Amino acid sequence: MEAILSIAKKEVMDNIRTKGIIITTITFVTIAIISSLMGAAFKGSSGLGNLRMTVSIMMMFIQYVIPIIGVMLGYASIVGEAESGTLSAFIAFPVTRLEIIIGKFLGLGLVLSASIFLGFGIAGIIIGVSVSNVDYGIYLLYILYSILLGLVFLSISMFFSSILKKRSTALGISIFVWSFFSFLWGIMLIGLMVANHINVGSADAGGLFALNLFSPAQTYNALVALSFGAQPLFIPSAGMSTFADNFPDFYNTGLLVFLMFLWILIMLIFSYLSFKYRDV
Amino acid sequence: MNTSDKPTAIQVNNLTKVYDRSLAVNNLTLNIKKGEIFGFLGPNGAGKTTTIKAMLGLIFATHGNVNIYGYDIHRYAKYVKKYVGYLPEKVAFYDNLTGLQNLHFYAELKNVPKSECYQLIKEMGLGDDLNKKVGKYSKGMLQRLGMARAILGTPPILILDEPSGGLDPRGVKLIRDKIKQLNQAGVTIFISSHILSEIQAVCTQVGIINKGVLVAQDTVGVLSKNLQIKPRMILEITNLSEKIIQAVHGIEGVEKIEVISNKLEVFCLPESRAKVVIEVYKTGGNIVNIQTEEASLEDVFMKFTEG
Repeated sequence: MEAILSIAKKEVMDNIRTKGIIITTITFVTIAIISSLMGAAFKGSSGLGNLRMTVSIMMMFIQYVIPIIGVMLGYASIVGEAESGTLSAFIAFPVTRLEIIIGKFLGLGLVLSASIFLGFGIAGIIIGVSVSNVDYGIYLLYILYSILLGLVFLSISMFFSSILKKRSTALGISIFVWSFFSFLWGIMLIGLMVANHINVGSADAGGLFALNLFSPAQTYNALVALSFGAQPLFIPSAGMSTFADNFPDFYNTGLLVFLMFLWILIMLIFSYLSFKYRDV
Repeated sequence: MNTSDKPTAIQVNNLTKVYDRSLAVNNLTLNIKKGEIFGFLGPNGAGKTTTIKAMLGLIFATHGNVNIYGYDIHRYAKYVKKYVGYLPEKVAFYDNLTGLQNLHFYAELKNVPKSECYQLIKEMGLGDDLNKKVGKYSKGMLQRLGMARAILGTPPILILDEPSGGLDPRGVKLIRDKIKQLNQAGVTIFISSHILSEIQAVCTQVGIINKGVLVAQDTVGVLSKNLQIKPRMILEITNLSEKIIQAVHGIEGVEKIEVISNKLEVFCLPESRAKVVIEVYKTGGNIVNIQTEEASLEDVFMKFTEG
């Protein structure tokens, strides 16, 4: 346990020194404030808009930005150290490969979570000053779901980092996976729906809604839509998640949150298994 | 206590490693006794670093295994690695952290008090740079910090891959003195190096690897004796001529002659040296200087790795 905490601490320190955490926080604050201002504009009022509209607009950005930050934090976590040469000295110390994977995920996850929390938190306070009756409970839940989305993509990129031999390949494949889940999967499902003349409200759509949950980005969209009634605006790539009114009965927050955690767990297990027998 | 009576610190058993159908190490067996300074030599690509990586559990052997104090390096990795310090050939640290922060991290992994880091950094001559980001360190400074990392917690086994790489003469001396000092304190040291003089200066045992195969393991003296490498005598002759060279060639026990300017380098047994000097005088040679050199590690290395 001590080794895991030491590794996690090192990752946090490393990211503080590179100022990555500060840049990420500023990005989130900017997104939250811009979203809020846009929300106000939609409602025809001036100043910062209400939280629900803000969340809907934020989703336009967040569903892409958070996964990509997760990818950027994780893609070099193993392969980057292997290329720079620090990994061989690291493994020569009394630390197991499982501790390395867990420690790195905890550290990088903390960096990601802290920057999302800080960024959204600061923005929430700014919004709260201008808007009355802000439900901070809902906002907090939204922050937690967003953190969960970031952690899923962090674990996916860590898997590619532990299995591939080159940092550039790990980055390329992680970005492809991000675009696949964030854009292509949704487009593909809508294409399937149109091609098969499936009505979104019909019983036939159940299979497509189930397939929709294969993408963690779509799961996140569905989760937010289900929890807050907020929907990603103007994005056909959001796939079946845009049809919040027609979600099937098996769509519930418990299942969706479970699926997000399952992604993290499976990716971490795969990361460990591929790293366990990797020559360094 | 005789060397052979000492307990084994590192045991490499029939180690074979194949990378993508290329055989890097072939059935290598090594036995390094406690308290030894073992020099591991070989040309580039001979399999030295692969062997070291297998010793540390960084790579997985295709066949064979490595034991440290009798414990398998993979099965008991966490336990065994407490007793091993490692200086890799390519020394690398976390560039965004300072030298001291880097060492603190490794000290935590080894449960070593952080106060030791400051002391080691000072010992390695980096006292003024301990709060500087490692990304700004020179290659020599990195090597010194790498040595400090390797000896954190004074491990009883030290594995050093090219310890003098990138160091200036002062740094080389510092590391060499440290190696001797640690060995006197009982630390078993395994050194891989291209610099033969470095190995000859500190090592009690030598292993030579060529094309993945261990071709020799013993002391330099025994190896040169077994190979019948003859020591050399260098005669500086002001009027060196073909007649003198021919005369020396005919002497029994003279294996080889090399001429460099007015110097005659004669490879012969010690008992033939007097005959050589007399023969040179007889043929009118004017000797102004005589030097003798015993068989060097370089001679041994060249013999074992030729072809």
